[in-house]
Amino acid sequence: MSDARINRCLEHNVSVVVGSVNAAGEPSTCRALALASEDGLSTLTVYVPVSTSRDTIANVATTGRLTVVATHPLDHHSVQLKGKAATARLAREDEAGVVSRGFDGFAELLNRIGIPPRVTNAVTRWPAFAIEMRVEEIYDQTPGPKAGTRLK
Amino acid sequence: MRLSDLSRCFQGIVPSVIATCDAGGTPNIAYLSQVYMLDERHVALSRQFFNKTQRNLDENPLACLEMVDPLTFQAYRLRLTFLRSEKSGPLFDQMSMRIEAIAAHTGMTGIFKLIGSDIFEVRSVEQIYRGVCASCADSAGAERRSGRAAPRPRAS
Repeated sequence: MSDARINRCLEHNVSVVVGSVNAAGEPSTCRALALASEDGLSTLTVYVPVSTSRDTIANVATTGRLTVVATHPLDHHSVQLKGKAATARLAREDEAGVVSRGFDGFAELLNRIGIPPRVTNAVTRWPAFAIEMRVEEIYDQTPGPKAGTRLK
Repeated sequence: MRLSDLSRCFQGIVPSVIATCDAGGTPNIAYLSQVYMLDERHVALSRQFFNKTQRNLDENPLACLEMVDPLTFQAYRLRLTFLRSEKSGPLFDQMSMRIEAIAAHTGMTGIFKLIGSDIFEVRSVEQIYRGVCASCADSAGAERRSGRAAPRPRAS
């Protein structure tokens, strides 16, 4: 998979899910709002709603192990990025645009496949936590025979 | 909260997500085509490609499943413990037929193929965010049908 294909995970119309784990080995999921990276996916900032990310933030503070899956709902193109969280903090006001563009783009795409804005508008978006992680591994997650192939 | 209250989540319209973890503490996420309710304390998940999920469950049977109501976008988080996998029998046959239907509907014919029905105990069910309540969605639909404007949902 080319870098361009991998970088599609940063487009503003992807479904993003974060996985984390606590010290007892209990995994947890959290739907995320947006992704951002300014260094070619060496590091990644993932934005999650404050209201739904209690377990994720607690897990970041204890084990720090994270996985992030970004999926295009139309063509199922999907990558999974695994790594270690460096920090979790409240998202700044100047990051509200990133969060808004990320989820609005996803909601717009969902509208095209039959889930209308009156449904997606109800999802909590702000305030958000920004979790900054160091990406250590990237996997192809697109359904098919290459699913699970390590890309980086 | 009862599993039978989440019937729309089991329709497979919005893919569910499962998180597992290996013995070294690294989590993994996989999408699921189908979650099948067996009874109030057990579900069966379709296993198609997710070898990493299976390897993780062999090392650590704990899992977390997130399901979404396709009408309200209400999400639910289920804490699971893996019990066993079935590769034949009535449950497998029923889930296999449904996978074929989902594959045809999503353009994944020939790619989606059931290789196992994984059975889990459900330890807890948690509502994780509030979407449009079912009654609001129903009334919005009724208003649409009557030609009136649907109400703007209240952000949570």
